Amino acid sequence: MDQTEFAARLIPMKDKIFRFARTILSDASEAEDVTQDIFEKLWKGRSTLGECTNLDAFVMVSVRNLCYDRLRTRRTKQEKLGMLRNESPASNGGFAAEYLDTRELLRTTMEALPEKQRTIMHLRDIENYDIDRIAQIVGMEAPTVRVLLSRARHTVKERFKALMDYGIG
Amino acid sequence: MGSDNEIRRLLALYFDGATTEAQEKELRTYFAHGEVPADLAYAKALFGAAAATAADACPLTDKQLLARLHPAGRPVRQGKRRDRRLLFLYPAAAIALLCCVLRPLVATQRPEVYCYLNGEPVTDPEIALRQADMAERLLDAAVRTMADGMAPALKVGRSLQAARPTDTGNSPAGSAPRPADPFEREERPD
Repeated sequence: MDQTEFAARLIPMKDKIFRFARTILSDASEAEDVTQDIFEKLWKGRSTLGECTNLDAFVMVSVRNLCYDRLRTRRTKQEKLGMLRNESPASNGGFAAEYLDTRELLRTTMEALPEKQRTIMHLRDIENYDIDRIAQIVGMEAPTVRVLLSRARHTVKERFKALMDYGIG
Repeated sequence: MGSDNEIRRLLALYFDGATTEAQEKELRTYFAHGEVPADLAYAKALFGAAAATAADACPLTDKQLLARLHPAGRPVRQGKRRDRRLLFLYPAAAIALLCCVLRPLVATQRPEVYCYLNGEPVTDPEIALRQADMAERLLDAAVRTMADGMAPALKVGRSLQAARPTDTGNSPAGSAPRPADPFEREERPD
């Protein structure tokens, strides 16, 4: 793959890559780093990209793997420092008043989901991938993907319903 | 656009993860436009948040990304690359050529060594001949001295040999006859 083809096929994926990385890492600046790192890796391996049958899935798998590596490193550091990351916004009483922005609510709710559910829900509800492509990216069977997607959506639904019950929005 | 009841049915399927892409598109379209019943307000908020998130763009521009892959001032090389692995051959070839040219010159200039005296090479033929001559005379004197010194012993040996009886084959049992030729094998009786 030459420079022109690289720019035409891969550069347009940068928004999708950034969003996906941000969802997994829950951090925009880290997502930016991952985006840059992914493109550097793709550039270095561009001679073999032409043989890739499903370039999109390949790129998203690479992003996922890189993000998981960062999460593992982050967790190791946190364990060493004796810090516990609070992943549950429900521990904040009366959260509804703080989340006037439903985007922020969706972001924090997804952040609290288990990694696989968060990844699957992002790929389906944000990036509109079909179930088979999602199964390929996360390395699971399609029925399992649907089950995890259902759990994630139900969790998000309860958060949003609770928001509505507070009378906001 | 579907009725509210149809939307509720699709929504139930949606949260069970059982909707198709077309059905989800219908839900997105429904919640993107107009008012919805109060009990579906949460779904409108949810779909609206997802749509807004899907529109987020990466802060990095295309130019910034490409600049990192092709830093300014470092043009991407085009065409045939010189094989750097062969570069070491040039100095090696130069050294080999130099050796071939210089070796005959060095060889002609190097003096011939005729002999070694006390570990030191002797390149002067006169000295070498003198040393050889001296060595020959010394050796000659040494042999004569040895011969002179051994003269009495030799005399005794010859007389003893003359006095020994000749071997008739009746040697005592168990004793082997003295071989005349040291290279002749001893034959022991069975």
